[in-house]
Amino acid sequence: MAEPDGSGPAGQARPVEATVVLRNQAGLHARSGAALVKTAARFDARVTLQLKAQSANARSLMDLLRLGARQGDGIQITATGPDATAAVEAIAALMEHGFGEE
Amino acid sequence: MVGLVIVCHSARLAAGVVELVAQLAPEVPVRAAGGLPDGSLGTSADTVQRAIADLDNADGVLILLDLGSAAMSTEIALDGLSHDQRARIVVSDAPLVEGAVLAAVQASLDLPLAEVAAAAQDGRRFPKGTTAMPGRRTASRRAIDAPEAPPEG
Repeated sequence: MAEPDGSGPAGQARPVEATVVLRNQAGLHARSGAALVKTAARFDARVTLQLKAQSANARSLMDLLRLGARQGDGIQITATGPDATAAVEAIAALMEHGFGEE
Repeated sequence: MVGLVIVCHSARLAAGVVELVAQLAPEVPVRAAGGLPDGSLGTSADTVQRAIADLDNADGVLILLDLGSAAMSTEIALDGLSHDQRARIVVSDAPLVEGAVLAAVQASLDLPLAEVAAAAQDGRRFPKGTTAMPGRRTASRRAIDAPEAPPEG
């Protein structure tokens, strides 16, 4: 659920951001990446993940795999668009719960 | 949604790729076309054709191949199709496993065939674990000098 104070007018230009540390042992690999792609696709938002200098479109598995993100890496999630807040919250929750893995 | 056909010489290899893809993108229709009808190794145009026909309701079909004659069998299978049927099929030369995984995940987002095919093609750059770029560590194993064989006689 999106927090009420986070929701701006549709198509808001101001990006919503959060930084989350990867918890699952395997990091961002095929299965966790696939879960992330599907979560991002549920929202009307453009979501970008950033690790150091590299950024990835959250709807592209290949982009996510090329981040090479491992357990303990801090990943910045940035979203724009009508569902930006909800998208960031959902993706942050997925990562914080280790994609349902250990 | 775009569907995938996995053409392999081995029925078990094709089934394994389908199994892997199903875990990552269970909603994507994927059909195995592996092995010859008698169960031996090889690729069969008839088997490929049946797999394609099975995906008649998909919004396009991406075909992924293992090796060699998989391409020829697929060509023969496609020769039997009408122009319209052929237009909704792309044969990929992406690496099989990487291509299938990437294509299926993007297909699950209901992307058009061209984008799903492009995702498969990205499989050529698919990172393989953390050892994809081995360091320059020189081999520490030193060849053991074998004693020279004593001269004959």
